[in-house]
Amino acid sequence: MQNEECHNYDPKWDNAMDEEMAALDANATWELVALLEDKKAIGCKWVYKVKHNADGSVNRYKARLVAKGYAQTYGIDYEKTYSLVAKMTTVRAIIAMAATKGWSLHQMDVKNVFLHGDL
Amino acid sequence: MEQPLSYVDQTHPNLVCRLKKALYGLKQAPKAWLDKIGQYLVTSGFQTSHADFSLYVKKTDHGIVIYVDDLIIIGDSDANIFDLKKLLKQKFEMKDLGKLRYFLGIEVIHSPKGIWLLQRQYALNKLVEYGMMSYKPISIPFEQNVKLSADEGDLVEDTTMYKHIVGSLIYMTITRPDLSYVVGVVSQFMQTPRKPHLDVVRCILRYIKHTLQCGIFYEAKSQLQVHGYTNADWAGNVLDRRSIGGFIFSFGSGVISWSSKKQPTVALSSTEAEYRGVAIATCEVVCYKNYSQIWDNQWMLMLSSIVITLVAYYLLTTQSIMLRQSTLRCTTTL
Repeated sequence: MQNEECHNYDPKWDNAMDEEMAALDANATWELVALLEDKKAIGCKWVYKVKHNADGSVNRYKARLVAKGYAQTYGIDYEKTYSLVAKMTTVRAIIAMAATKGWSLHQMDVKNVFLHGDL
Repeated sequence: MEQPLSYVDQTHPNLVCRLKKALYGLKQAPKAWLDKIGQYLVTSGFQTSHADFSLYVKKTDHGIVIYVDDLIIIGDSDANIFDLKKLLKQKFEMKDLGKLRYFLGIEVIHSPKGIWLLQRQYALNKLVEYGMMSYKPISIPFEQNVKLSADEGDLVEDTTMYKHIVGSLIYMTITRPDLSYVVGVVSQFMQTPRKPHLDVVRCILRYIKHTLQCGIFYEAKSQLQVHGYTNADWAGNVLDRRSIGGFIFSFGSGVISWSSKKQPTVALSSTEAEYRGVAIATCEVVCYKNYSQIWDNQWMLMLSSIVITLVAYYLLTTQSIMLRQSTLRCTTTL
């Protein structure tokens, strides 16, 4: 379900969007300012997703606000990018070591991961 | 940024949002996040590993691997791990997933004998998706000595489908070194796939059906040593006569890294091809040296074509080979 038109008619998406907006507000993600002359603001849009449980039942409705990053210009809107993708070899090496030495192997998951970064 | 749809400030509809924090979709969002967590980890005593920038290590023997929003933590004492988790939970909004069981579609199965890495569920889903469940399983993915050509056979109509399947096969090589060679072969025809190529892809899927339970096993209490093997064919590719070289490295009892790749240059003899293969494998070993931050163990390196290498040492004198040879000499004395 990635349809922008129908969300207004379905209260479940409203709740999901309220939740996301609350998270963004709590995080102080932005402040409202007047746009500088001759500048254009980049757009944003809502992306809707239904999260399912392992048995296929609906877990929750999730709405996420995404910026249209493709409209950004290098040098003006951003300078450095980096994708933090771990090498699979590293992951396997770590697991091999945990197995051999009998160490514990734990996992954590960050909520709203990209909202933590400062610009 | 423009104000979000259906949340436009009624009193100031003309204002725009000046972003102070990163948002999904921004080009710099991933970096902003890594900076943040990296900074935090460094101030709490971690060091970035030279082997991989998403690996952080602390001397009291635990490390963290970060994969976008997933973190893997390993350590010798549970108490340390729990302390760290508590700290991270305070600082960031995190969910504790407990013991590592599922990471990027890879199953991690713990048993007293060791740890299994499997992609059973992923493979099964893909077999269903591509309608392969009714096909008979086969025990080999690829006939020996079959050479595929780029311009024989009818063109495949649905090229997107072909790319899709090969993409998932590439993903499956994460826990399946046995697929590495054959996936390398079919991925050379991504641009203009033909019927014979698609047939090979089907064979691979049938082979996967036969070997769904296969994965990597890391045995507990095995010796922590690195073993490596390399080999190369000679002019194995009929299209451009380049050789295909490969290597595989194991750490403890299970493999951690492997590759099967067409060499970038044409080799004039099988010796040269193997020699280049050894050099490529050596580069990989150099990378492991950086892991020594987390493991202090004895090095042991075995190269299957080392005998040939020694002969080549006396025979070949061209400059590029000298360069490769010196890389090799430097590192085998590590």
